[in-house]
Amino acid sequence: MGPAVRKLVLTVHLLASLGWVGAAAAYLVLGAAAAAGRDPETVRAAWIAMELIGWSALVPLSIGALATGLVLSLGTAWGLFRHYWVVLSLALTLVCTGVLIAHLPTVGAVAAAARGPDPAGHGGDLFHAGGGLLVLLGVTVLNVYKPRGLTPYGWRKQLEERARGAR
Amino acid sequence: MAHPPAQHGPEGGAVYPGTPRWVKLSGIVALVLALLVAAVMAVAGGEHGPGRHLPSGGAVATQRP
Repeated sequence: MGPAVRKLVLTVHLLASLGWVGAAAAYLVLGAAAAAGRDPETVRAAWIAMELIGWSALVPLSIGALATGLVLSLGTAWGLFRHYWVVLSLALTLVCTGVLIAHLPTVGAVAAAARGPDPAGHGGDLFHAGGGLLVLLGVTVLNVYKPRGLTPYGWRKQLEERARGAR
Repeated sequence: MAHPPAQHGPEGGAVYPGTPRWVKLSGIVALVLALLVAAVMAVAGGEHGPGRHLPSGGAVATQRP
């Protein structure tokens, strides 16, 4: 991958990843407002907004972060399975995206029920939002610090490349 | 994304240096968290879906007649 394309993909990756963190933070605030449950209108509005943020922001941003992350890994010398921090980032991003997509129908169902006359008894959504945000922050730290550590596959590949370079 | 630094083993040899400590620690933390989540779900009676949020026990008004 050329430097211009790499920078473009990296820019989109950063925007999608950090946008995902921001959208998850907004979702958490709404989940907390619904959990507090003091005002029925607030609970109703929070669940409807959580469904909207979920499908319109969280899902596209998560898929964008995942796709651009894959392109960056495969298109650069980092590789996909060579460094532990890349493997962990990929695994955690996949888990977050999967849990998000699996959880949103529940959010939709509760949002539909919250449109009814008594929305106050539905509680909030702190567990998924809080857990997801923590995992996303962990992935961000991994991507910034890039802790050292080659997988056995990465180690083998590096030895092969070194041997090829010595010839 | 900067290029990865070359990583050498002991004396630059061909012996795999093993899994880094931070990976092992992260694995242990992830395992503990997964067990904690499983325990919380078990205590909550395994309820994990719209029914958890709906006082009537799962009747969801998603379809209108």
